[in-house]
Amino acid sequence: MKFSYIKIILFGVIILIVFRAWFLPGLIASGDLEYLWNYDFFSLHPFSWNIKAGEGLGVFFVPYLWVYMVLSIPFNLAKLLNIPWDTAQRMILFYPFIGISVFSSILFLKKIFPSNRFYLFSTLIFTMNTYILNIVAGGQLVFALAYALAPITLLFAINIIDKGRFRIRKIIIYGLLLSLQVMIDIRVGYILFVAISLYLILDGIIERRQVKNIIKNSLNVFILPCLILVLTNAFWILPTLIFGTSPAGQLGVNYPTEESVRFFSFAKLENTISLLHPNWPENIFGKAYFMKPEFLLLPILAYSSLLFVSKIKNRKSKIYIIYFVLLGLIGAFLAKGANEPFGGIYLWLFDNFPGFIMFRDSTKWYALVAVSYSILIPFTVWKIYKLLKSQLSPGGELYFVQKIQKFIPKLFLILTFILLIFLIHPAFLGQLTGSFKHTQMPEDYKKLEKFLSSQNNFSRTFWVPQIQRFGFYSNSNPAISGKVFFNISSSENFLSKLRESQEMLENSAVRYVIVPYDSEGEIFLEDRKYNEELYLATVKKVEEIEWLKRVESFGEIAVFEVPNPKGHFWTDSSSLKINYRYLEPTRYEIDIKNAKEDDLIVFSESFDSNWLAKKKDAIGIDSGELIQSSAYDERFNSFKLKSGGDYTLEIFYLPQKWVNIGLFVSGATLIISFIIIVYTYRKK
Amino acid sequence: MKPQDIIFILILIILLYKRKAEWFVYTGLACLIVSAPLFYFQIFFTAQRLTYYAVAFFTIAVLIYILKLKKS
Repeated sequence: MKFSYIKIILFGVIILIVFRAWFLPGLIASGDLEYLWNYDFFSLHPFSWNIKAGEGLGVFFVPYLWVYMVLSIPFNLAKLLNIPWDTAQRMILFYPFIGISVFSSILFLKKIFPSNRFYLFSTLIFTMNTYILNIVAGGQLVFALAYALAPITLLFAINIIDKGRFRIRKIIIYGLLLSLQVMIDIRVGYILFVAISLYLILDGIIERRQVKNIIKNSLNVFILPCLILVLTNAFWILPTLIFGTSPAGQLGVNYPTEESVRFFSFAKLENTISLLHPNWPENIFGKAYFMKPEFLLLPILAYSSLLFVSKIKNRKSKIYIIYFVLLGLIGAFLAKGANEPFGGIYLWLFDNFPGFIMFRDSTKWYALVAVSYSILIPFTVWKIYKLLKSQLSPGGELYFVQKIQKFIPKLFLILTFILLIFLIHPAFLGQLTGSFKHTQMPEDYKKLEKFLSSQNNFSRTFWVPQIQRFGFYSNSNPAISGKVFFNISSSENFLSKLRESQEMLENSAVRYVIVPYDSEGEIFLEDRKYNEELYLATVKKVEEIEWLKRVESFGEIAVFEVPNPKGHFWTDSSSLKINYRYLEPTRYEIDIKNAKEDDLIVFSESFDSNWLAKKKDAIGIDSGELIQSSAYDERFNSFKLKSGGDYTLEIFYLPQKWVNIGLFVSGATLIISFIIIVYTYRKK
Repeated sequence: MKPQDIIFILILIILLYKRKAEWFVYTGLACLIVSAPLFYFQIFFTAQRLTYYAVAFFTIAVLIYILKLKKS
């Protein structure tokens, strides 16, 4: 058997052991990885309004559409093929993460240093460092996918800058990769922009390029690809520009203060430079551990690469080493956030630099350190191995001396490999939590799902204090998390507020109030640990609310019925009769009978003045009469009728028009890009 | 200013006088190597400072390499 086969088998075994939970049957649901009862959430056509989001009351969804397009196509395919959720999430999220990150790290090293064949080290560092293992453990698989793709995108950019020529096919492919990167996770796209800019500047300085060449390179690597990026992402960029919050603002909207940045700066410089996640291995939010000194061997190996710069003959290789060292240092500096030294710089960037608001969690910058070390460490190992081999070339007379001299370089490789494995030993010993562990769904949640999905009419569920991971929700049964609805964190105040809120819940179309069974120990917590007493006290207090009636037994899930819930559309007028049809999340039709002028129709979705009503006559022709939504009870939409009688009213959400236009632009850009790629390839 | 900082500045001045990139790298690596046992024995202040110094030394080494490459 050849040595390379042994390495492949060895690597396969490592992957299988570390990610064994992903290959064995069993349900994985933890952290950000939600359990979905159906694929409704991933509509193939992007909609600017999401009924289930916005805590069950609907929300302007455009700032989130970038990611849903990438996920929608594969998950709709899974729906078409009737693939259950736990299999689909493995095939769409878990396995592609492993596959792409292994492939991209190998390709990256192969193209940067073609003579270096220590791919195993590159992949071990990139795919199995403590940072990315904690990220996937926490269920941030979408971010992990973007991270996995990053080296390929960066490689394309470096290649375009190095060649310095205008090659339309390469630029289009790179532009499409950049678009995909932004669609998966805009933050990784932003991090890549920083990395590419750094290379462009470094290349310009070292190679003493003329200004016109730097401009030409910028055109190749930024302006044209960004044009493709903007056009392929037009389906969300266009309505965002016209109507609303940018994704950067959306990601930062709840935490724009310096205080929150300080709070979320868990990692210190010794952690970030050692590619050690501060929460490794338990991954408990906010619980940072003391520095593990053995991890310092990683920066020692990585930055030792600088010692070989003078000895390298190839100028480009020298630039690569300097670039990746800088990338690692900048990544380590930014990933520590507001911590010393010079923490003020991060805070200043957060406040002043465009787009930096997305990085409240500074640890996202670890991605740069991982990319950097995945090149630098294999480089150092390769150089030391070659050095040992040349210095210890068998020359002794004795046979065993020759053998030892021959074995020492290999021993160095083995020891480095053992070190890298040792650093992530909790992953081998099964000590990682989250997505590295299987869980079981209690039968009661399955019963509840059957019960709720059998309800024919639109109604909401109200979860006290919040929805549980296995709690059912759908387009016709959105779930409201109580604590967010009332904006109260104290459970005592929350329950007394609930007692007074019968009318508010009825107006919100809430049919059931549910106290969940906290099977995963994530809701009723005291000092980060599950407390049964809290759960029992909550059930007791809800039972004491006189207007709620416990209706059905779902084991430890307590379900209560609200007396007179209203519908999705309702009116206070006694004479007005309404009958509505759901067409799509942004369009409804209402048949109106016996209407009087100034009658009010309430639409129980979060208020947004872009909801409009349009009157149609008996044969469905628009009358041109538009009614803009006005706020009802400072929460919902309402439409004051301008004319009486019987007619049909179309309710629609204006931003959807721009999503559809943007979708056309995105589709056309993709088609034209593919035509150019195929044409130029055939010409070549 | 702590004694560690004074030692750092002294070494930095000497190294800047010599302007040899490799010396900065060796000193940076030495800082990391020395900080490891200090972290183990939970002498955090000095250990943390040593990692800051290591980053500073590596950064200066990179700048010297860039200048050298630019000239060559």
